[in-house]
Amino acid sequence: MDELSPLVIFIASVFTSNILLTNFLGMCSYLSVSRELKTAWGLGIAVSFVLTCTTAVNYWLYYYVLVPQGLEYLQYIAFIVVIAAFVQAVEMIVDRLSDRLYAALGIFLPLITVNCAILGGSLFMIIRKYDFIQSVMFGAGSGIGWALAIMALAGIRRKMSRRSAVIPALEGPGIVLIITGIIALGFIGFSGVVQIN
Amino acid sequence: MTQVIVPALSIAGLATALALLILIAERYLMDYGEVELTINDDRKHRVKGGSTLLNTLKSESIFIPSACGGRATCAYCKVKAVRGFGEVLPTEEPLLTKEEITNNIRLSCQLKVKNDVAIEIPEELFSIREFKARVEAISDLTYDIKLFSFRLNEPEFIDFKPGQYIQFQAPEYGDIDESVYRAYSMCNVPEDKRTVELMVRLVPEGICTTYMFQYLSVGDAVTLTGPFGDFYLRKGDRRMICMAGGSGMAPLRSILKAMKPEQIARRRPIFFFGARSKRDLFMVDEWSAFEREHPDFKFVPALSSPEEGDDWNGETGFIPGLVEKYVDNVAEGEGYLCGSPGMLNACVEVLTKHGIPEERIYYDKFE
Amino acid sequence: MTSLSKQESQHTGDPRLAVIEEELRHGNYLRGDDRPLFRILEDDKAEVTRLGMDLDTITDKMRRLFEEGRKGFGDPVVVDEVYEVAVFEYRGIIVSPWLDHHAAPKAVVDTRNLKTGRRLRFSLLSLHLIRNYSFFQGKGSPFRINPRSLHEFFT
Repeated sequence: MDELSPLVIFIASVFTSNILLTNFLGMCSYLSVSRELKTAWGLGIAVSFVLTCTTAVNYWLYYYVLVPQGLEYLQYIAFIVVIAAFVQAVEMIVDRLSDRLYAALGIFLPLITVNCAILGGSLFMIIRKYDFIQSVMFGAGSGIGWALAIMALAGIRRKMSRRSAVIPALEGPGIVLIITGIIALGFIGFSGVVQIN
Repeated sequence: MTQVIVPALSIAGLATALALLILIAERYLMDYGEVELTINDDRKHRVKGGSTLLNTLKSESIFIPSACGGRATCAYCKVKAVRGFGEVLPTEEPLLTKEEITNNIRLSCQLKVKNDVAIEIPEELFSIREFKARVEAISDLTYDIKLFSFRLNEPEFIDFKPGQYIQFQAPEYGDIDESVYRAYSMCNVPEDKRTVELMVRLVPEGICTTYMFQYLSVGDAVTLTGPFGDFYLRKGDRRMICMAGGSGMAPLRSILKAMKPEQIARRRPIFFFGARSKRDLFMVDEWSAFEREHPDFKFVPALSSPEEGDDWNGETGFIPGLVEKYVDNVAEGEGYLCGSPGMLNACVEVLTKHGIPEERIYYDKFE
Repeated sequence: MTSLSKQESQHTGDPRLAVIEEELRHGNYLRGDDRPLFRILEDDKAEVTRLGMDLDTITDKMRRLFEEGRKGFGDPVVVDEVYEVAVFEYRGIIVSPWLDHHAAPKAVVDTRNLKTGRRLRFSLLSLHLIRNYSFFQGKGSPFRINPRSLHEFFT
C-alpha cells in the first residue's frame, strides 16, 4: 500500500471512488429517500456522521482489541455491533435536535445500520491498511460522497417529476437505477484526478 | 475450548459496553426534565417534557378535541403556539393554511413539548372533563338505534349546553386491540347533571357501535370526555326550524326539552324528522305529548318509503321538501340540523334557497 | 412520519410501509390474512394487471354511484338504468390507515347490477384505498373487494 495523503483519500472517496457510484454500496435507503432534497440532505448528514465515527471507533477496536487477541475474524460482528450502537445514538440526537428532521427522517434512521456502505467503509479501511487519520478521512469522505450522490439524485428526480413522463414500468426503482448509472458514468470522468482503488 | 469462550465473551463484552453507553446517552438526551407550560398567558403548569402537546395537556386534565387519535388527520386539535415550538412539521403542513401558519396555529397532536412553552386555547376548553361513569340503562329505540343511559361517578356532575356532544371511549375488545373514541350528542337535559343519555345508531362493522351494542352491559364502567361542540340554541326570537334523521334527534331533543315554555311560545319550533319507514320512527308518543304541552311546537315526521303494513297517514317523502309546506316566511327563521352529511347538505340547500343565510343555519359537522 | 405517495406505496421496500402495516393490523383491515402487506399488495396488483383493470376509471364509476345513490338517503336509486344503488351515511369519519392525512366520511354503498344481478358493497374508505394505493384489504376484512369481483361488476 502506498503512502497516500489523507486529503487525497478524502477527495478520492468523495468523487472518484464514491462508495455508492463506484462501489455500488448503500443503495437501499438511497432508493427510498431520494425523493425530497431536504430529506436526502438530512439522511446524508446522518450517514456521514455514522461513517466517520464508526470508522474511527472500529479502527481502534480492530487494531487495539481484536488484533492483539488474534480475533480479527470477529471484525464483521464487532463492526456491526458498533454501527448499530452509533445509529441508535444518532436517532436520539436527531430526535433531540430537530422535530422536523425526525418527523421526515426518523423512520429511515434504523435502516442506516444495515446500510452496507457503513460496514463497507470499516472493512475497506482494514483491507487497504489505512492508518488512523487516513481511516477517518476515508470514512468522512465516503459519507460525504454518499450524501452527494443522494442529493444529486433527489435534485434530478425533483426536476424530472415536473417535466418528464417516465413509462410506468420504469417508475420508481427502475428509473432511479438508470439515473444512478448515468451519474456513475459521469463520475468516471473524475478518475483521471486520483485513484485509490 | 478457550477458542470458543474468548471470542464469545469478547463480543458479549463489546455489546454490553455499547449497550451501557446507549443507556447513558438516552438518559442524557431523552430526558427533557420538567418544563413550564403557560396557557393563555395566565395559567402556568409544570409538566414532564417529552410528550406531544395534546398528551401533555391531557395529563393536566385539559382536553383538546381530537377525532383521529393523534394521526394528523382530523385537525380538530389546533391550538395557538405562542412560544417554544419549532418550525412547522411535515406532518402538519397538509392540514394548516398559510394564514394559520403565520398566526402560529399548530396541531397539538404533532407538537412535542421539550422546553418551556406557551400556548393559547379558547376558554371553553377548560370546562371539558374526563368522566368515569357506569351504564345505568340500555333500551331499544328501533331495530338499529339504542338509547344508552350513563350515571357519572367521577366527576359526578356534568355541565353542558343542550346540543353538545361527548366522546365515548370504546376499549379494546374481541379482535380490536386499540381503543377508539366516537362522538355522540347528549339527548337529555343538563338539569339531569349526573346522567348522560346518548342515542346510538349501529354502523355496519363499526368498531364503537359494535362494542356498545354487543359487549356493553348495564353496570359496566365507561369513560366519557366532554362536553364538546358548537351546536346549541342561539339567543333571539327567531322561528326555529329543526330538521333531523335517525340518531340526529339526540341534540335537538336536548335543546327542545331544555327550553322554557315562554321560549317555545316565542320561537315556535317546528321539528321535521325524516325516516325511511315506520320501523325507523321512535319516541313519536313523547313528541306528541310535547306538542300537547306546548301548542306552539310542531312535530312533523316524514317517511320516505313507508312499508305496506305501516298504515301511514302522515307525510311522505324527504323532509327538505316539506319546509315550504309548513313554514311561511322561512327566511326569518333559524335552522337547527342534525343528521348524515347527505341529509345536512340537502337541508342546508333548501333553507338557503328559501332565504336563510348560512350563518343562521346551525349543525355539528362531525367530520 | 411523512405520508407515502401512491407511487411510493408500490415500492414495497419502503420502511414506512411497515408502520402502515401495523396500522392496518390494528384497524382490522388485514383480518384473517396471514400474508404480509407487501404480498397482499403484490397479489392483488398482479390480478389487476392480469384483468387489465384501469383503477382510475373504475373508482370514478364507484364514486359516481355514491354521489347519485346518496340522493336516496338509504332508499335505492337507479343509476344509468343499470345500477340500483342504496347509500347509507353515518355521522363521523374514519381515519385512513395509510397515514395520509385523509379521513373518509362514514358511508356504505350497496349496489346491484340490474342486468347481471351481481352485487357490490363498498365503503368510501375502501374506495379511497383502492384508488390511491391499489389496496383491496385482507382476505377476512369485511370491506375487502376481490379485484376480479370488482372487474366483473362493471362489465
